[in-house]
Amino acid sequence: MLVSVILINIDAHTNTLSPVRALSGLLITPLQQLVLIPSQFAQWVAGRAISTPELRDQLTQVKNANLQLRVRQQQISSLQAENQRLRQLLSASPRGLNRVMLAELVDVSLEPYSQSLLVNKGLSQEVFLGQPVLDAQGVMGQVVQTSYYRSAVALITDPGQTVPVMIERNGFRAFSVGIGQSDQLDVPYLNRNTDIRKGDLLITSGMGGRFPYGYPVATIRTVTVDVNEPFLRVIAEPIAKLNYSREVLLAWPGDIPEPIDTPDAIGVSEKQISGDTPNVAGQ
Amino acid sequence: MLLGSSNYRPLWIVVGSFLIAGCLNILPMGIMAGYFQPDWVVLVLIYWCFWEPERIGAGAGWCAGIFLDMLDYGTFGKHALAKLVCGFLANRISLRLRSYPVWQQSAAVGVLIAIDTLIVAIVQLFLDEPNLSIGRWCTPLASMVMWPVVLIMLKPAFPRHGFR
Repeated sequence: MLVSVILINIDAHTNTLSPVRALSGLLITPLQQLVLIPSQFAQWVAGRAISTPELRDQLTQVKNANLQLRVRQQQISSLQAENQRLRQLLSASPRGLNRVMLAELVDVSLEPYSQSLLVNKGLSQEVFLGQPVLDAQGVMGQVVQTSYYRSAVALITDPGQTVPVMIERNGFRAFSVGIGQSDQLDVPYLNRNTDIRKGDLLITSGMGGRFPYGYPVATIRTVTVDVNEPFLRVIAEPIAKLNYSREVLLAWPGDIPEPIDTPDAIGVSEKQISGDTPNVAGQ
Repeated sequence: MLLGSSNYRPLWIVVGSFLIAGCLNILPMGIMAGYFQPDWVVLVLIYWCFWEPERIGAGAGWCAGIFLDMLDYGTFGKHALAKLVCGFLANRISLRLRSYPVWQQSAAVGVLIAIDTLIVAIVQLFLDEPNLSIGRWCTPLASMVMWPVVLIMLKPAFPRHGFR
């Protein structure tokens, strides 16, 4: 009994057990694979059963989507170049894109009623603790445990998971906190006069350096003013399809993104322009 | 119902039953069906505690708990602590319960698993990962319902033990 209490404490408060975890994860990988067989078989059958016209339809859809994305990509690359030039003018460090890797969900149930997932990439693919996990829509969560071929991901809706966010409309910084329900996030500690409304988009603010800047996290669903409480009650809805995504993206922060800090940035730029560089003035 | 040492089943049957139970535990279920997923590992643990109390008890419970901790990627030792208590209790009441009818055994199993869930919940509370949803209290109920199934499944392992 004492041993397990000690074990709980060691594991909860230090990182010393991570090699043990890596090993234990490796040991149970065959079991997980065994469990996967029925669902893989079902998927295989479903893949076989799809008809040709249906496939053709899907192909057209995918082609259209691809075309649109490529057009937008062209725009993005020119915008990115422009952004980089402007940031250079402000002598701020350039913001690169992040390297991402596709990972697939391993369809096993983890701790019941906890908001977490298992993905099929691990230490052998350089996955690390605290790595941000995204899907095509937005931020999903972060890696909380790794073994050689598997990692466990805590979703942003997991109780206690906190993401530093900001309101996209005005750059106001806040936190989103998971409350254990897959379609709700809490945004605590906002003063009653905060400029926040229903429908606002929350994006990662990059504060703390764990989640890279600028990925969508949630939209505000309700803002309730309770006269008896010092703060607003704000409920947000995650953008990422937490329950439906089969593939997720693991992101490696390329360079540590810095948060937008408008007054400071302006100060720097003014100093720069007045101080030196005729070429800045020239441009 | 006397248990001599000759009545012990080979260890691989015990270990194998735990492994299969572990597989059943991580079997993916839908969100709704997931609420009614019984905790197979604890059921198997209680089964062995009832019918081989000289061998299976708190210690085996601890091992089963560590196995579960490995399976669900939670904090190590959480399930180990709960299953240790669960195994100990099941071991203590085994002689009485073996002679009870199945539905009474089911009730006792439900209480044991409720205690187990409670301990896990308390540990989680201390670890700042509180998870007090109503849904998790379905597990003892589902496990209660599944107790006769466990008896039937493991019966071939005990040809000599008649039970009602």
